[in-house]
Amino acid sequence: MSQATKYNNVRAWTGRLCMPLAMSVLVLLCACDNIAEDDRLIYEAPAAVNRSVLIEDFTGQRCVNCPNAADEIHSLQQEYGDSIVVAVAIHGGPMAVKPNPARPNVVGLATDLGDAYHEHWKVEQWPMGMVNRSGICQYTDWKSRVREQIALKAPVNITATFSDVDGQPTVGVETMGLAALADAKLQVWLVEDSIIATQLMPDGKANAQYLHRHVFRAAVNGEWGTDLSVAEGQVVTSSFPVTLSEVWQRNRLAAVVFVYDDSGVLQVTSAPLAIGQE
Amino acid sequence: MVSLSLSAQTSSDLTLSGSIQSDILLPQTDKTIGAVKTDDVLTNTYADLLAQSKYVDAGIRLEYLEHPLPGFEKDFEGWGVPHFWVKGKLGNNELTVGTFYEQFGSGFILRTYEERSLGIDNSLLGGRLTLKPADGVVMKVLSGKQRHYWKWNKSLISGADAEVSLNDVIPSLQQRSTRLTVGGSWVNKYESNDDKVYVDYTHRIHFPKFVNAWDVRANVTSGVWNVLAEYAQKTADPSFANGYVFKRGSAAMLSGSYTDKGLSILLQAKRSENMSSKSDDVVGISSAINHLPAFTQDQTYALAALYPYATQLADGEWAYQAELGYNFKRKTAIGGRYGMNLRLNYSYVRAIPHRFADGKDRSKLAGVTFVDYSSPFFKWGADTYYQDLNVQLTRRLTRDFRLNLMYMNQRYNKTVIEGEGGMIHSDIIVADGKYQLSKKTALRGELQYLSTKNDEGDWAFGLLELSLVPHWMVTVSDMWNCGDTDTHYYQGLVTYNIGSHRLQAGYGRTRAGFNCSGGVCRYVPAQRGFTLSYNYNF
Repeated sequence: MSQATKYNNVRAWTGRLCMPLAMSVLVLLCACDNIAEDDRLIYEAPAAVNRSVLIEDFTGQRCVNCPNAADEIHSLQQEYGDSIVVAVAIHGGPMAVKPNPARPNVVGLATDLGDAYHEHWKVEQWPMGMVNRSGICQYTDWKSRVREQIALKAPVNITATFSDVDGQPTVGVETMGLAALADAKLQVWLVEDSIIATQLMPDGKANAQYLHRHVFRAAVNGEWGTDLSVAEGQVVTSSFPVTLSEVWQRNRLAAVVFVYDDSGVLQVTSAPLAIGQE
Repeated sequence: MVSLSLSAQTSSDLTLSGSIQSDILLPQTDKTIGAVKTDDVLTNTYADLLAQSKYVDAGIRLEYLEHPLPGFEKDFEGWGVPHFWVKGKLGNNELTVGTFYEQFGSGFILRTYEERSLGIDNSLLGGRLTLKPADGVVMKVLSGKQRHYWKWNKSLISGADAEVSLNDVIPSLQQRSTRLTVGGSWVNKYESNDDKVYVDYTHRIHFPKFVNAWDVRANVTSGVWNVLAEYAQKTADPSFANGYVFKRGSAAMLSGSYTDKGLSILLQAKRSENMSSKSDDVVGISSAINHLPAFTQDQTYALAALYPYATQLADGEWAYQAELGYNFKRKTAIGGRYGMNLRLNYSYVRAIPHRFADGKDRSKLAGVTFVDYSSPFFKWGADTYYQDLNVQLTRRLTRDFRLNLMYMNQRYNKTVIEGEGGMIHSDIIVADGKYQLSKKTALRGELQYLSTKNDEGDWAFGLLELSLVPHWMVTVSDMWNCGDTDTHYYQGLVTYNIGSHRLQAGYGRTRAGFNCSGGVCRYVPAQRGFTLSYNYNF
């Protein structure tokens, strides 16, 4: 067979292929999925609430989109209550502002430990967060993650009190095993609520009177907490003295106490500092 | 950067070729600029191998990015062979199986490509059939899953494209000097709609399983004139970037040019709305299915490129560009003894309106969840995103000395593009001179100054580059923030070329910056250290 004949055969074969190909494309074009306006939302029954959840909100005062995440937390707490949705705003990374003695008028909310947490969890975009440490996600996913996490059964109960004991602020923690728990960690954090400090807003402008909620201040029992093992039905008590900074407003302080393991946060609670109580 | 190229091995049936590219940084901590040493050695290394024969081609690429250079997304880390493909050829027709890159038209609805400097590689893994049933007719059909660093996204991307040169298929047009090409494309994204994004506590968004996009275009060339018109549309594709709105997206472009006797004119206009298209609802630069080119001039001078514009895909924009170029002839009053080139470029990018039911008009959509808006086609939004007026003059003053002068006036809306910072209004001047010291030796110098009252204030830049043809090039430069920070970003580079090898060694600092996309920002850190770059092709 000559080259020209071969070429013509290929062309003819190609030409025959074109029509079915075009028809296939038309069929695929019809694979349109227009969702009617009334059908754009799917109803799901309210989630069962079986435990509290911890939202770690990785944020910064120079992050214009971070107030959107704070609003989302506020909305979640209004829906479920702030004892069910416990939030901690961890300021860190390049969009955060650190306290600077050379600029005493600038209230910076970042900490070295906040930076370390950002680095550890590989946060590279802001705002981002974790719900019970079930993976880093955008704030628009938090409603979904909260629904999933609150429906799970907690293997441990936590009761925390934060009080002055002989003038020494102390966090008392009582953990009760609802199932046997080994290789877990108990973490105690200190947060300060309702701090007024500058925040860049979604319109790009600075708001000097922005109300910062539940701001991470310090880890009371180490960067990653202390070891915890508890048998089913067993109660373990512990207490942790707290060193307060003069910068912090005592009446706005609270302890956030949670138990976690490799699977994530298992249970969480918070306790405000009750001055004068034992 | 290290790049290695092996010599090609050719036989009558099989040709082997390839390349190696390696960029290496030995990072150092520098508190002044905030650079942190994260590892002893960082490298982005690529090795490509291509085999070609009469009926079958095949290729693979090894990528080693386990300890990548700073500034890439976390998921960029890894190593492996993410590219592997086989192409069968029969006549003018081709069937590709494996990974491949493709672009339909201007890329409004499909563009997969690799841009290593940005960490972009959104190739498709699947199959592509290219048919040429007649002269002037090209048809393509493809389907595949898109690369997302070291995995492939779940969405299935399918598409078809046809382009016809009417002069080739209509006999009566074959002798005409006016050439007309028309094209049309379609792209479909299929994904399971089980993403759970809640608008309240009992209602989640019902995501569409299919998102369709189509594109039509026509290109007319007649002598010195060329006109390209293109329009694309896509169905509702709610995502984080567009505020989960159920709304069609569209892009329209008209571009005309005239080139004759040293005169060139370019006029372009483009309107886009809600055209962000991704194969996974992730923030950042990965997984983009399409690409809309920015109608702004690519700047190569360091300070002119300090504030670069990127198309706002989800929010949309009106973009305009005009360019006038003229070559003044040699031995004329203006052209002088050696001639002169003058180029004037103007680009302007403006928001489109997003009118919500509450009467507000928001430039940015991210964070506005599940709320529809209207956007009249011919209206502008409130914000200017970008404006750039620049004039460049290139003239050879003597036989051995060439001078390029540039002035640029720029407005850069940092809040829209990066997330914060307001409007930056700057004036930039550049002088670039090259002196041919001898037949093999040339010295080039740049002086640049950027003046602004905004952001970090003024910048100055100086560069000297000595070329010793054919092997050596030595470059020293310093970018100095003489405004707020008084910081120097110095750099020294030595380049050696021999055959297909290119080796470059250097030491210096680069500045930090924010890269924001879809309402979320990514930080590109500052760096200081030794660099090594090697390229080799065979």
